[in-house]
Amino acid sequence: MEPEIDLVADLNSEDDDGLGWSSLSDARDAAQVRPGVMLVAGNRFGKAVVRVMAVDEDGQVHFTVLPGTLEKNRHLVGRALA
Amino acid sequence: MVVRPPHRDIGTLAVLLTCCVTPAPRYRLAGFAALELGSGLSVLVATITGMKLRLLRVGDHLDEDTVLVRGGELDPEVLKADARRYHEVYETYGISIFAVRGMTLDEMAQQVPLIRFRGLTLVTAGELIRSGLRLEPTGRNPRHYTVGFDDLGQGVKVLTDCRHQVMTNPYYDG
Repeated sequence: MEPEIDLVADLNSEDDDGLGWSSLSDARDAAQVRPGVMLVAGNRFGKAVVRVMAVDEDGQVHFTVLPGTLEKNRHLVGRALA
Repeated sequence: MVVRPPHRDIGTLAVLLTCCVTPAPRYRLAGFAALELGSGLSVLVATITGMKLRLLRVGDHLDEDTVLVRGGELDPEVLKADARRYHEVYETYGISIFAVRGMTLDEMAQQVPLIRFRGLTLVTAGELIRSGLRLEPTGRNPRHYTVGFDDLGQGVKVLTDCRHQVMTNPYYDG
């Protein structure tokens, strides 16, 4: 079964530093989106497990995309850096 | 000096001038107005909005024949959602796309982010520019471009009407 999307995002989008990004307003649960956390981001064309790197004051969420499949990375979702 | 996002509320003219000369401005100038101080003395006042500006790679132009690739298909509703999200942050509409340069399409297709897409859309730079869309070299990744437009509905329609190809990504594995 496909995991639910935590953060709707266009995985093509890059910020100036080459990180993926989306907006807190597109999060299923904004409280869950904080630096270090891994979650499922994307849309119906492309999804991936990503690690949140930063959340700006304006709600822009920056993340890195893990290259592996959702299935392979599913166990990482919800984990965070210590 | 480059003004970084955490310092969004700075409104001094000194910062304004700094923003004007820095190669990577992050703030948008909302407008100017003359403030009368009396006795024929007036100063020029600028307002700065909190919207971020993109880093533009000055002088980076693509040949007409250069192929650009984007993960996913050109679905109007998805594109509108993506462009709206871009507008939330950068106060203009934009859609990300990658120039096939410096490596082959096959190499790009097996790397993040394209490997996460089952389908890839290909379009030439000339087709986008002839359609009246802006092709902006945004960010530090020399392959990353933003297709820019000012009217959401019209911009997305023009983009979806561009001649393009959709191919299956042979490196996508679920």
